[in-house]
Amino acid sequence: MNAATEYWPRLLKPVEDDSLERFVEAMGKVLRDSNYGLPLSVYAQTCTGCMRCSQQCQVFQQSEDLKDTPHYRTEQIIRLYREFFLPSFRGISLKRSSLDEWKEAQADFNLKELIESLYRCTLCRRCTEECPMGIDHRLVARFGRQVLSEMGLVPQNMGGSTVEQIFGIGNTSAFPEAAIIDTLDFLEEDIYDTYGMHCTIPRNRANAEYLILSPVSDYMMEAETLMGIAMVMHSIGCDWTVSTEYCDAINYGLFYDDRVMVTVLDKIVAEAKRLNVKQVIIGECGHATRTAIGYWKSSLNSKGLVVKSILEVTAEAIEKGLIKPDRTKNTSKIVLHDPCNIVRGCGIYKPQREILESCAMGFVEMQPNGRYNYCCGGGGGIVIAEDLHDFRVEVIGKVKADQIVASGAEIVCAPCANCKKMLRELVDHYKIPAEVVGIHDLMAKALAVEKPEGVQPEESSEAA
Amino acid sequence: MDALLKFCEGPLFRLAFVILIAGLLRQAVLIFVPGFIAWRRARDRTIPWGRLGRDLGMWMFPVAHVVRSRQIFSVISYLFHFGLILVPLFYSGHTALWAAGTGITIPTISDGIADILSLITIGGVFLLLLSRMIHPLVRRFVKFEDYFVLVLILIPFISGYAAGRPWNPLSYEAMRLVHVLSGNILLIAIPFTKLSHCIFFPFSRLCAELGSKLALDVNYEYRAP
Repeated sequence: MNAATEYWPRLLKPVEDDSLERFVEAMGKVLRDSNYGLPLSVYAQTCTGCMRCSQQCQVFQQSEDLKDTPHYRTEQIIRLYREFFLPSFRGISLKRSSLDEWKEAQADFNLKELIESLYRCTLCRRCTEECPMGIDHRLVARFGRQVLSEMGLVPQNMGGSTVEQIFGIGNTSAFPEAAIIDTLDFLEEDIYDTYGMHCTIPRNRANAEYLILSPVSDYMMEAETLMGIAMVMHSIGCDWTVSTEYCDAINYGLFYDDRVMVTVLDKIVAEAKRLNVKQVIIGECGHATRTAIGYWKSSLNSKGLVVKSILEVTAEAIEKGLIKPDRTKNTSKIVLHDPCNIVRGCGIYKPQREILESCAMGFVEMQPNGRYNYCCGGGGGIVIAEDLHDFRVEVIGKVKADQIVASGAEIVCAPCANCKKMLRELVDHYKIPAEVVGIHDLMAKALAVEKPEGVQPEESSEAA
Repeated sequence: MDALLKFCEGPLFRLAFVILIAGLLRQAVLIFVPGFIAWRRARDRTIPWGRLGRDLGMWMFPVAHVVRSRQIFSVISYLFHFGLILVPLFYSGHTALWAAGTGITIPTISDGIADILSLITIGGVFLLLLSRMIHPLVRRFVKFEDYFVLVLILIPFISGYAAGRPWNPLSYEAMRLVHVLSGNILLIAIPFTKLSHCIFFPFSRLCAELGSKLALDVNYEYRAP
């Protein structure tokens, strides 16, 4: 194992010496409370060790550290599972050793290395696409992280943001409601000033058709994306709203704890029910889209509520001719980055391409793209861990930087807030002459209208 | 010798075959019963059959996948499976035994094709063994079982191929005995080793899908760590 071992996300609690006992105990609890046991019992007898998964892992490709292979992670978890939890009628051996005996016999088992390995994975699921046997290594990694969370071992950044979102102000960035309202006022003016469109952003409007939930970063760093979404919804002329009370679609639960995931989903559903909307639209965010679309029915009150990605809504509007973006407004060479959670996770592949075709002239594909695309480098919560900056930029994201350079594009476009943050870090670090934007940033430019002379922007009448 | 051969091809083969079928059925039950329970307790019971089927189909005919990584290994292992499945089932000597024992006639492949397929499979076993020994990544994780199953496959194929040849070092009967005995051992081993992927392969994706479902009977309310 090489020097890359120094990368280690800060956890809320230290890993202690008796951790293996606690790990096995927590594993038992997680297995009782979930369905993870079924795939683990099958994987214990399926993997033939062909290593296709590991060869396609972008973390391993760069770090060449065996700990980074999906096979290592899955194998270590399955070793514990096979010894302590596989029902005895499953395997041939009926003997079951005690934990101490096992530790002595399996001296090469290193829990600290396993924990580190679990948090060096971007959960991009590229390895699963490569497995002839269909072994879902991401599922195993998520299981491992769930067990760590059960032990109280949670990375500080994710744990802290989640506590703020669930128990605190109501979003992961602790952005107060007044600031959100201010931002929306400012965005309305900015849309008029920059794009000449009189666009109001309705807030907390009850009984609307659509509730738009964006990641909270869209209200701060990525405001252009939110402006684009507002302009699209306004141009469609539909009855839509945003919420100022609960505005955050981010759901870090996907990365480390199913309980967080369901709790956040429940909050989203509760907000939709409070406003009595018909559809929830998730803004440009990879894991928010994945959790909402993939796990919507797991939130028990969600019956009767439809959830969609904004990409699907915009693409549909373009197809129906409800909005007519002007392609000639975006003439630069644009390359599209496919966020793992949107393409591999939700199977949303065409809508973002239809949008780009309709609003930009110079759209090119990354190679490879679609379900075989590389992760930006910040997946699985790595992008929000400040102490992993060097690791994600120099190791994981290297291949993505190469892809961007190879495409020769002036604009890198990604429909995901996490990806955009990561891609910006890459562009800065490798000094790539490219700008990083969201899809709706380009849409906003393409929907811009001539500002009528001498008309002053009106004050919003929709303010709550 | 003759009586022993008769015993191995008759009662012993029947026993091995019964163990094979019973073992595979047991594995199937061990997927379907927990799988059904997992589905019953799932909050979201929809299963994307289309996507699962498409993924499975793409790996059954992995034209696009094969070229993506470990190209040589992928092609070898793909071809290797052809002989492994077709020769034991459809070789004329085997189908004749089936017909004699059960009265069921099975279509046969010509001996020439069977020879070629056997050679490909034998060559494949050696190359797979080699790949497990020399591939820098694979050999770090390889286990005894990975070699063991390849040897299990190798012996019946080599002895079967060699039995009727002029260069056969043993007598025809002796080689045939080796072939039948090792073949029986292979059949018995399938449900108990990684060879059982022949029955897991179609269902592993479904199991992953069911495994990611959240449980209805669990309270997911999050308490701060």
